[in-house]
Order: sequence, then C-alpha cells, then structure tokens
Amino acid sequence: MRVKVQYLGPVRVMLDKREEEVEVSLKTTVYELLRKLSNTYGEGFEREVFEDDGGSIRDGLIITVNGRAIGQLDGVRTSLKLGDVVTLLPLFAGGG
Amino acid sequence: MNAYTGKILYVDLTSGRSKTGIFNEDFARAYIGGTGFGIKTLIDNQEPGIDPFDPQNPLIYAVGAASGTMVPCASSKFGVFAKSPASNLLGEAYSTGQWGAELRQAGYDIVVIKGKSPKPAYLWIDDESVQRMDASHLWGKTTWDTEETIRNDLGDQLIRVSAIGPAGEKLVRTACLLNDHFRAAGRTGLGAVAGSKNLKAVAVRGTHDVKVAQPEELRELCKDLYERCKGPATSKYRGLGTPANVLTLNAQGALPTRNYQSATFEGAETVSGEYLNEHFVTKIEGCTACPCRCEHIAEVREGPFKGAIARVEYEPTMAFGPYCGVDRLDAVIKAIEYCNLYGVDAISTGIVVGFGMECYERELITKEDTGGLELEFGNGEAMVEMVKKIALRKDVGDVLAEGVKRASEKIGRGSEHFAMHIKGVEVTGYELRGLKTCALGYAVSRRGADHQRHGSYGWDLGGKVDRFKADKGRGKLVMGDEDVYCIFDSMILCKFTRGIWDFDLIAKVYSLVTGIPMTGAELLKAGERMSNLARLYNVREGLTRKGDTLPPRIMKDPIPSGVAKGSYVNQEDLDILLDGYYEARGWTKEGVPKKEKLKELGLEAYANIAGKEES
Amino acid sequence: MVRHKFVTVDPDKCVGCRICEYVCSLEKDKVFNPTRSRIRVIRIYPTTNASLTCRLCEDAPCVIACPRKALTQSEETGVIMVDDDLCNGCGWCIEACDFGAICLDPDKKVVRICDLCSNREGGPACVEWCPEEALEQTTKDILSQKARIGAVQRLVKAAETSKAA
Repeated sequence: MRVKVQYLGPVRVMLDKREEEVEVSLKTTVYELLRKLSNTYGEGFEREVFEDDGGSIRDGLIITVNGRAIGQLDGVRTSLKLGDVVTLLPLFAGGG
Repeated sequence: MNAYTGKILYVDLTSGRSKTGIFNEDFARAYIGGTGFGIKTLIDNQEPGIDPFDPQNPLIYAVGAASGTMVPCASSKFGVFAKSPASNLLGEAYSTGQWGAELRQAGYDIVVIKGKSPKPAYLWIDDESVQRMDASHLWGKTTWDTEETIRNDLGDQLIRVSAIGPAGEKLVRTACLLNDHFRAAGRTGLGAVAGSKNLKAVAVRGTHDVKVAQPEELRELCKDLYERCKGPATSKYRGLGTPANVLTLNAQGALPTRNYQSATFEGAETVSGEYLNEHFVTKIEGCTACPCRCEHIAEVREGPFKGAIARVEYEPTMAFGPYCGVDRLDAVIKAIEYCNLYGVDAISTGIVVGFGMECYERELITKEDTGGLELEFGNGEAMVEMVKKIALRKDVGDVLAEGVKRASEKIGRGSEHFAMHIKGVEVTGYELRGLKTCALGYAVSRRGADHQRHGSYGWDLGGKVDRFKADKGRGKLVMGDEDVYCIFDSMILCKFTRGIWDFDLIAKVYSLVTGIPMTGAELLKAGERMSNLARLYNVREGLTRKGDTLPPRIMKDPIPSGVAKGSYVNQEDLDILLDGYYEARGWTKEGVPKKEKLKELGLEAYANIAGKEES
Repeated sequence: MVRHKFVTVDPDKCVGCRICEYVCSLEKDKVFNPTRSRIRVIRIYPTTNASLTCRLCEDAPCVIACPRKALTQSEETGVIMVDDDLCNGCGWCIEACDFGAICLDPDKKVVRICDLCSNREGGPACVEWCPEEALEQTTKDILSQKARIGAVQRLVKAAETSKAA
C-alpha cells in the first residue's frame, strides 16, 4: 500500500525532497517505514532520524501520522494504513 | 573568589557618581549569576510599587557565573532587569554577543543604574574608571551609529556598547537594548527604562584577567564539551537554524497567523527556514567562546528592500511573517533590520503590527491614522513602514508604541479581545490554543507571555502529553522546565546547547570555574529559589492569580482549521492547569509562595510579601 | 630554503568566536584575558571575521625597530624572541608591526609575541582549538600553492560550464 512521507528541516535539505509516496506492506509500523527509508538513503538519514541505539527516534525530531504526534498514538509501533501521511519535523528550542 | 569579581557597580545618573559594593560566596552560591543575581538585586534595590519610568527604578545588568571564560556558549551572556513598563511587573531580558564578557573583564558582575541624567548621557565603564559621558550628539542616532560613534569618540574599536535607539528615547514600550549589531536584550521594554533615565548606552571595556579555580581541569573538560557542541545535539542550530520551526509549527497547526486568527499559514513555505537558508543567508557567525556558531545573517540582494541585513531567528520570522500574513522574507528581514536600528524588540513589535493590521481591517483605525499606509495583513511594505512609525511614535504608531494592551484600551471597540498579550507583554511564536502545557507555561511566566522561561511546548509538540487536554499533572512539568531554565539563565548557558548538559555536569563546571562546591541538586534548588523569588517580586508589585491568564482569543475562539481545529483553552482548562502548577510549586491557590516553601529555600526575609495572602 | 611556518586564518571560515584568544591566554598565562592573547580577532560588521598573529616576517620590522636590541629572530623557525631583561616596554616594535601581532604583558611590561607554542605538545593551541578549523600553521609557499590550485580549479570549472552551455 502507498503512504505519503513529508520531509521538513535538515532531512529535507539532505534529501533535497519535500515529500514522496512510499510503497509499504499492510500494517507496516512507523518504525519499519523509517528503517526502510534509512536503508534507501543511508547513514546520514539514519543519524538524523534515530538515536545511536537505532531503536528510538532522535531527540528533537517529531514524527506525526496524519498530523498527530506518534507519542500520542503507539509511538514507533504505530500501525500505518493506506493513504496515511507521515511527517518528519525537527523541533527547535526558542529562537528569539 | 574565582571567576566572580564579587563587585557590584552602583551608578547614580542624576549626580553622575558611582560606587562599588561587594557580594560574597554565600550570595554567589545561592543565586549563581544572571537570573538569580538580577532578580535578587532588583527586589532588594527597588521601592515597591514605583512607576517603571521613575528615576529610582533600577536598571540592572548581570553576567553569568561562567562569564569571560572558555565554557562553551557561556562567555558573553548577560541579563538586564528592571520593573517593566510593559507589565508593571518583573522586566527581564537576556542578550549575548561580546558585551557580557567585557563587563566581567572590566571587574563587575552586576551594575545597578538609578537616577536620571539631566542631559542625554552614556555610561562609560573602562575597567575601574566609571564616567557619565555626554550623549547629546548621540540622541536620535540608531543603535549601530551609536556604537560606531562611541568607539570613534573614545578611540577604541573594541569597546562593547549596549544601546537604545530612538524608540527607547521615546519610551516605546517594546523598546530594547541592542549590542554587537545583532544581539538584543529585547523583551519587556527595558530600552524604555533606559530612555526614561536619559541613558543612551552603556559602553564597557575590560582588560583584567578572569581567573578560574582549576584552569587545567576546566580546559580538559572543555575538550569534550566543545566536541559535543559540534555534534548532533546542536547540528540543527548550526545548519538551518531556528527558522526551520516555521514549517514544523505550521504542520502541527501551531503557527500563530494573522494576529492569532488561525494556526496555519498558507504562505509558510516562502517564509520558512529552508527558504531563508537557500535564498538569503550569507554567513553564520558566533558569539564569544561559542564552538557552535548559529547566528544566521541574512541579506536581501534585490528588490525594494535591497541591502537589508539582519540576524534571523524563528521568532522574528514568525512575528513579521505569518503573524502579519506576510509571505515574503525580504520584507521580514527589512523589518528586523529596522527593529535593530531603531531599537525595538522584533517579536513584540511584530505582534503589535499584526494587532494594528487587524484593527485596520476591522476599520477601528483608518488610512489617515496610519499616515496613508494600507495596513492590511500581507502588505509587507506597510508592515516595514509601520515598524518605523512605532519606533518613532508617528501617526497611529504613537498609540501602538504603547504595546497591544494599552493600545487596545485606547482604541477600545472590542479590540481588547484580540490584543494578544499576557501581563502586558506580547505573545510569541507558539499557538497556545493547541498546546495546553505550553499555554500554562505562558500563563504563569514571570515576565509575561514567554516561551523562554520554560520551553514547555516540547511536551506538547513532542507528543509526550495530550496537547489538546488540560490536566493537573502539567504543573509539575512546567515547574521543572522553569527551574532548569533558571539554571541555564544564571550560569548563563545558551539553551541551544541544552542537549550536551546534565545537571551534574553543569555543577562540575561551576565548581571548576568558581572553586565553590556545587551539586546538580543544589543547582536545581537554586533554580527553584530564583523562580520563587521572582514570584515574590511580582506579588509584591501587585500580581494575583487573575494575572496568570491567557488572552481572550485563546480562551474563547477555537482554532478554525487544520490539524488542531477546534482547540482552545477555556477557563476550566486554565483553572485545572493553574491549580496543578501552584500545588506543585507549594504556593497558595492565589499563587503566593507559602511560608514553608520560603523557609525551604532560605527566603524567609521576604515572608512579609507572602504574608499578604494566606490560604 | 627558509620555511617559517606561521599561524594564519581563512577568513571565510572564521566566525569571530574568539576561542583562539581564550586558549592562547590560558596556555601562556593560565588566565582568560583576550588582551594577553598573542592572536587577536577582528570583526568588521556585518560579516567579516579574521584573526591575526605573528607572520614571522623576513627582515622582521619589529626586530629592526627595537632601540635596545631586545628582539631577535630565530633563523630556524622565524619566531621572534624577547629578552625580558632588555625590553623596557617602549612599544616601538608594536607600532612597527604591520599586523598588530605584538602585545604588552600587563604585569611584566615586556612585549609578547606568538612563539608557535613551542613548549606545547601538539603545537599551537589556537590551531587545535578553533572549532571552525579556520586556523592552520603553514608557510607562504604552501599558501601560494593553494591559491594556484584553487585558481586552476576555478578555471577548469568555468571552462567545463561554458563547454556544456
């Protein structure tokens, strides 16, 4: 099934891409989707998205599914469905 | 003492005379520096209830514990404090650049300026020599011209200058104090306090040694700290910089747009951090002893605003971009440049212009009032011109210069509903209707609407809590955030490096620098002490629970569209949030620190303030 | 061939953070004080930053200027050495230096000049600590070699671009 992935911030600059459609299998989790993208885009992308342990999302990066932060869903185990929009958002402190 | 100079400079602008006082290790350990020094000095040196423009309102500068050392991103930060003409409560603002280190090198950690000079003056601190200098030829000059002229007059290009522009001279309530071209002690109108004293600038040159207790150990530790400053914890600040928040917040329906009429902006892409870096950023510079370097300097190279140059962060971008419905960065950069030159806070002034735009569109002010400007949302040229009019108090700029609170009181006709301020200080860049933990942080922030005293949007946007619901547990989160930020604001450490520190590490650095033993727990206690002392000050100056509130639009109008559609913070939400916060803090239901809390923190001396309300 | 290796800056990389000043004064005098540093940063707004220190001039003007012959130059390294007993802090050498690379020790009242951290393992502290890697210790030959390489690379790139167009 197809889901849409949107890129903001450093990841967008790195990939030079705003968004794309990605083909994944049914009930793929957010974690599995991000792993797949890491395999496609390599180490630079992986380091932007994952902490060193490879299991948790990097501090300061928010992942949303259809606008809702995954922390309020099932975290990285959140299951995706057809047409879902997954967005990678960097959050900065302050800036005044 | 090591690092600390132990000296306080007291200046009387009326007579032009100054004297020195001292502080000891107990004071240093209890209040650390920056925030702690500033609030403590203010509460002890200002008569309760005075008018902020009274000559006896002390204008206070305070450096951090690590000022003038190689501790990363800590060397040059300083705080400015006074009773605020915006809120009539605690005024406090922080800046960085090069000025702070220079003051410590000159031999002072705190400067207390009272009185009013009979003629325009600037303060010239040249190591031990302190003089009130004639500034008649500087009055009316921009902040940049002021710095250049002072350096040329005194013949030293390394003099650091903290100056007001024409706005401070004219007592504009969003006036700031600017230093080193691109840095400002911006918020709460402290530039107007300086203006009310006929004080154009504070110029400082310091050539003394700054000795730390254990220099070799500190240097060794800094090797690791500097590495971390160049690592993943800070990479986004060194890369795109904070303006990348524009698209993040837009995607989350958390971007204040058109004076808070909505939470998403259709023009966000062209005022985004991504767009800024691609088209406008020409150089990234650093403050003193900063391995990160995050100052994104942007230049406009063509069009009607050609030549404009400014350091661009998220907040001013929000304030002059989405907040005013403007989708072009050249106008945003020009507006920020005007703010720097004329000496007004970019955030507050952008909010004021946005308010003016809504007034104009509702025909509460006319084209005659605006001096011919079509002050509509999206009109970048009018926005830029309005900044100037506010700074110079021209046309309706004279009313708007009072800040949205007072301007809406004057304009009336329902404009109070959309005057976006808390305690008289304009809102900043997080749409609070859909961020309820953050909304609490803003409602209780000691200097009025503010994200920098807590950063509690992290819980909401990070998905760690349900941002659309209010519960009593948020109080503890906000309290924790506030006290931690007090530590940062007293050392003074740049919050962009937050990811490299833990409290024990900060305590270790504190001890290596000052020679004073310190633990992470003691630092947290000190942070709590500062938060409570600030509250006592505000209570003394008249703050009650009623003042811990949110603007009417946030409490009555739901977000109209987007991911956060329908959300807002009603009175019931607010009461739950406040109750939880006051409880966590050990305060009464009216928000007054209880006697037990004062005792716990060594603040019994202020019990008479707390004694006013008991429950 | 004389190969004096001095510390020089790449102004495109320098951000004006002054960490070089802090580590120099710490290394030499165990305190933080930019006025004691033998390398000094200049920032010209809005965006020009560069740090300057002794460039180990041939026929060093500071040596020639000194009325008491307190300064001598090492033939091997090019470093300017100060005889503290002879130097009286008159400052003539400070004025003679085109680069402002000489400063006065505020306690001893004798002049101080970059000595390339000859006693330090790892060489110049400023070079090691610069977070932007804007400083390097190099010779005039190497600098001109780099300029030539850069010039040829730009020429080649321009030729390729116009060929493609």
